[in-house]
Amino acid sequence: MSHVGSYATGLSALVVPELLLKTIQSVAAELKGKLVLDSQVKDYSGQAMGTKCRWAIFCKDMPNGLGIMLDANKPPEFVADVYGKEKQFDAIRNRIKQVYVALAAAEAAKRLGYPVQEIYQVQGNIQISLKVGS
Amino acid sequence: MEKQVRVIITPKGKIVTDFVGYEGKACFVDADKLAKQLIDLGVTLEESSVQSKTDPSEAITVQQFEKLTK
Repeated sequence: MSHVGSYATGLSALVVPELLLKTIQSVAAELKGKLVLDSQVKDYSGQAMGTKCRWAIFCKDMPNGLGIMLDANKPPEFVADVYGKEKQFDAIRNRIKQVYVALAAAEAAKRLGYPVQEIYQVQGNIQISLKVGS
Repeated sequence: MEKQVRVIITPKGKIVTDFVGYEGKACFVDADKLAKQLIDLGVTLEESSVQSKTDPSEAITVQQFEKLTK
């Protein structure tokens, strides 16, 4: 049985669950091919945690189903399956938050009409370059 | 000069923004717009994390960034 670690990110209070889901889906779809994070959005329904959390974001550095789990029926909260990686929970939690903030920043830029030129990782940091115009 | 915004997210989820090609405090206008959108998404952009750079070569280096976010 998987251990589900749950934590409040402090990001959730202002975010409507549906908006968050749409944001993650649309950003992930738009950035497909550009996203060096290797993250993807996956429908998790029907799987172990599917009854509670439908959507997840997975990254290659979070194998074994680690990722962001979003419960559409409650205020958004991030949960991570850390089975077998309990000792790495802090690092995993931070990684999840980092990926979410990167996706949010890309979405914010899109809403402002600033095209995302590239997203890449530099020594553990994620950098997003936006073209603003002259 | 073409303007560019570089948004850097640390491993802990902290944001630092580099506004390249901006003169003086002009970057704060765009930073404010970005901050408002980010708040809608539940993310806070602190004013202290906004930096104006007139020349792309002045953009933050990885080493400077690490120092800044320690």
